[in-house]
Order: sequence, then C-alpha cells, then structure tokens
Amino acid sequence: MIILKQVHKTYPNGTHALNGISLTIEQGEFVYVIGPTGSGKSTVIRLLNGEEIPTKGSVEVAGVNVGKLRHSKVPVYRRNLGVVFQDFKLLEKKTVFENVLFALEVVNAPMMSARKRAREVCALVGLSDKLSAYPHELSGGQQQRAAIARAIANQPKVLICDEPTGNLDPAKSKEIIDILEKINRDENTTILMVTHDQTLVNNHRRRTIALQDGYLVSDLVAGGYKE
Amino acid sequence: MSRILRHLKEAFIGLIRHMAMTLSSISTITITLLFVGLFLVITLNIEQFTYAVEGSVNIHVKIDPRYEDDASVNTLGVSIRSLVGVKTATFSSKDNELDEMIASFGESGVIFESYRGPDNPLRMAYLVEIEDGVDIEVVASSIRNLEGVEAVAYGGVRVIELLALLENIRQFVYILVAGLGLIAIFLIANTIKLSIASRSLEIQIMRTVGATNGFIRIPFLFEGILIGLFGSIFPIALIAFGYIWLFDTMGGQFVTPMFALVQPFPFVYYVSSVMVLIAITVGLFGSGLSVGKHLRWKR
Repeated sequence: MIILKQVHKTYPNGTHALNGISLTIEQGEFVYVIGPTGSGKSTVIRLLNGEEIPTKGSVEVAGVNVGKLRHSKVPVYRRNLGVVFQDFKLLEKKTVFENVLFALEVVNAPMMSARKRAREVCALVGLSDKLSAYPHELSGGQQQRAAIARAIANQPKVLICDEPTGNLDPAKSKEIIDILEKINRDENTTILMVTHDQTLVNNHRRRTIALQDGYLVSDLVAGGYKE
Repeated sequence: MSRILRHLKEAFIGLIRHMAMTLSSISTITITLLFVGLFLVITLNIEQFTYAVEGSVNIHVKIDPRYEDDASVNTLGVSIRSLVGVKTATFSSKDNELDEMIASFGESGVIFESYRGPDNPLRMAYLVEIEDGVDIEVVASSIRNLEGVEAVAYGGVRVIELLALLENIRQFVYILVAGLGLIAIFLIANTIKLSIASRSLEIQIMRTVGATNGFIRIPFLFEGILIGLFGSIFPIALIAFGYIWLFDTMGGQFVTPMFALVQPFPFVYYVSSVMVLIAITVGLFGSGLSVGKHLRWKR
C-alpha cells in the first residue's frame, strides 16, 4: 500500500528532514510513527499526501508514484487518503452530519448515496445520536470522532492520523484508538498514526516505526515505545 | 445543477459575510458602468453625427471673373485636385450657382430669376470635397493662394467645433472609465480576498479530502461575477430609460436636425448588453486576481 524507497527530503532552507528512509506498509496494516519533534514525522505525512515532493527516492501509495504526480492530478489522488488532525478542524457552523457530508459533497458524490454514507460512518464512530449537534456542543473525544468519520467518509485506502489524541485525556484517547482499530478491522483501511503518546503505543501494541533526525531508527513489528 | 446551486449559495454567503466590502465594490462597479454607458451613448451618437456631417463639409471656391475662360478654369480645377487632402472638385457654372442661391431662399427665391442670362453677377465656382480627417482650414488657405481664385468659403466650422468638443468629452469619459475600472477590479479583488481568508479552514478541508482546484475556486469566481451583475442593475436602468427619455424630450435630435440621435431601439439593448458584459468581465477579472494569488498551490 505504501512504499518508501530511499527517500530524502531537503527543504529549500537547507533542512535535511528525511535521510534515506525506506519502508513498506501493507494494505490493512495499523502502524504507529513515533519520534521527537523535528524527527521528520510531519514531512512523511506531507510526502504521502502529495504536498511535498521527495528530493531523492520515491514515494508510492496505492500504486501511485506521488512525487511524479502532475499538479492537476494531486486532488483526485488525495481521495485515496483520509487525514485526521490533532485539532479536529471541524466547521463550527455545520452540524456533525453536515461536516461529514461536506467531505462527500466537495468531491461530487451523488447526494443520495452521500447522505447514506454519512450516516453510516457516523454510526461507525458512535455518533448516531449526535448527528444534528454542533461541534461546540460535543466533548473533545466526540469532536475527534466526528473528524474521523469525515476522514473515512470517502472510503480512503489509507487513514493518516496526525497526533489524533494530542488534545485528549487518556480515557478519551482510548476511545479514539478503539475506533481506529475498529475502522482498521471493519473497513480494512490502512492506518498510519503519528503520535507522541507512549502509554497508548505501549498498551495497544502495533508495528511501530521510530524516526529521529530524519533517520529511521527502529521498525518493530512487536511494537511498543522503546527508549 | 445542484453543483452550480451549491457554488452560487457559497458565493452569496461570501457576499453577505462582507457586506461593507461587497457594497463598496458594487458601488464602484455602478459608477464605472454609468460612465461606460455614457461613453457608449456619446461615442455611438458622435459616429452618427460625423457620418451626417461628412457630406456637408466642403469648400466653395469662387473664380475670379478675369479667369473665366475655359483654359484658366480647367487649369484651376487641375491645381485644386492636385492638393493634398482634396477628394473631389466639381465645377459649378453661373447658372448652377444661381439655382443653388434661389433654392436656398425657398419660395421668395424666384425674385433672383431676373439675374439669369449673360449678366448673371454670380461667379463660376468649384465645390471642393475634402477627405476625412483633413484640416479644412489648411486646405482652404492653399486654395486661396492659387491663381484665379477670388474667394474661398466653407461652412460647417461650428459643426466641426461641436464635434471636437464632443470628442473631447468622449476621451475624458474614456480615461475616467479606465481609471474607475481599475479601482473596481482592485476592490473586488479585496472583497474576494476577505472571502477566501474567512473560508480558509473549509478550503483546507476541501483540499485534504481531494476536492479539485477548480471546485474550490468556482464559488469565488461566482462571487466576483455576482458583484458585477448587482453593480450593473442601476446604471443599465438609468442609461436605458434615461436615453429613451432624452430621445423623446429632444425630439430625436441634438441641437440641430443635422444631428439625428440614434433610435433608442435596439440601441439601448445593445448598450445594456455591452454594460453587462463589462460588469461580468470586471467582476471575473477582480476575483480571478485574488483567486490566482491566494488559491494557488504548489501541489
């Protein structure tokens, strides 16, 4: 599903964000990416969603060589990915249902099937009773669940979660990870979760990729946060 | 269809969200278009006037009685025709001149019939038609210096002055339109910029879930077009009804019957459609400027 081959990324200001990263993630895998600030985690995400082009090497997602994509093809390629942000990024003036529907509308999904799918994913994240609630009426965990529902609405092959539990307490974090595991299981979505949360990584052991200073320092299938 | 409605809805929301900017953009468009309309009305009428005046501006050259023999008359004709700016030169006999004079006095003109015959006191003449855009005074003074010319007269100078004045007004309005148009584009670009800024989160989400660039841009372009359209309502109504009223009040002519005004129909339709087109173009250009600047992504 995701294949990185000897990927180097140097930004115009001279920062070497990634130095020869190679890794393969199979369809349906659940992978943590951990590492301190500035280790290159964000750069990995930006390479995957096509925002940045690798300086050297290649990035392949769902059979697409992302670095070689023409600009005009990037938006359609992005439909392969769902992204969940640390700060949720929900539209305050729209209800939960409308927020999810929005993601479907803007890619021109047919109206009837879009509404059906929106209800379906809201049920999947356990927000069926909050469809007409506005984001400010929800708890942080519920907001993040709404954001997850929106991210998976278009049935992406890969779900990228950028510190999804960064703003949540441990109980809520557990809630989110349970939902992600459910999505990974039920929809067979490949999940790549960038996180700082040691407890989470240790309690829900999954393949864990550790980055430091742009190098891949460990890739443990057994998982766990290792110092 | 629902896509277009969706874009339109977003455009309206944008307009309402920045009411003050929207109103100032609309009023600039309104003022600009008022002058555009004025410009069109003046230009097209001047064209018609000029066409009417062209035939009437010519030089009347009286031949000195000492040069009335055939050879001298012919020589003079050749000399006049060889001058720069002369289109035609037609000989007019004494009898012909008398006919013209009698005709110009209308019914009472018959009293001049007694002049007819060998003692006709009038002079032989050449009627000189000049080419377009040539200074009539320059041509007239060159003819005056030719041998055998007694006097030179030309009508229509006042007419030419009037046309020149209208032409000056037209150019002034033209510059005004260009300047106002630029201000309108600038204001629209700013309105759209605010809309883009206030929707930055939506735009970010749209990009993340894979909405195409065109899809993201369209509502903002619609917003520009809408500003243009709203701005064109008042000036079109004013120019159209104003012109019809003016035409009726002035009896279809400007000062003299020589200046017949252009018939209001289909003239006002034509002017209105040009104004709508300009409004849309300016709106699209202004929003396009902002969209191109603020919604251009590297990837």
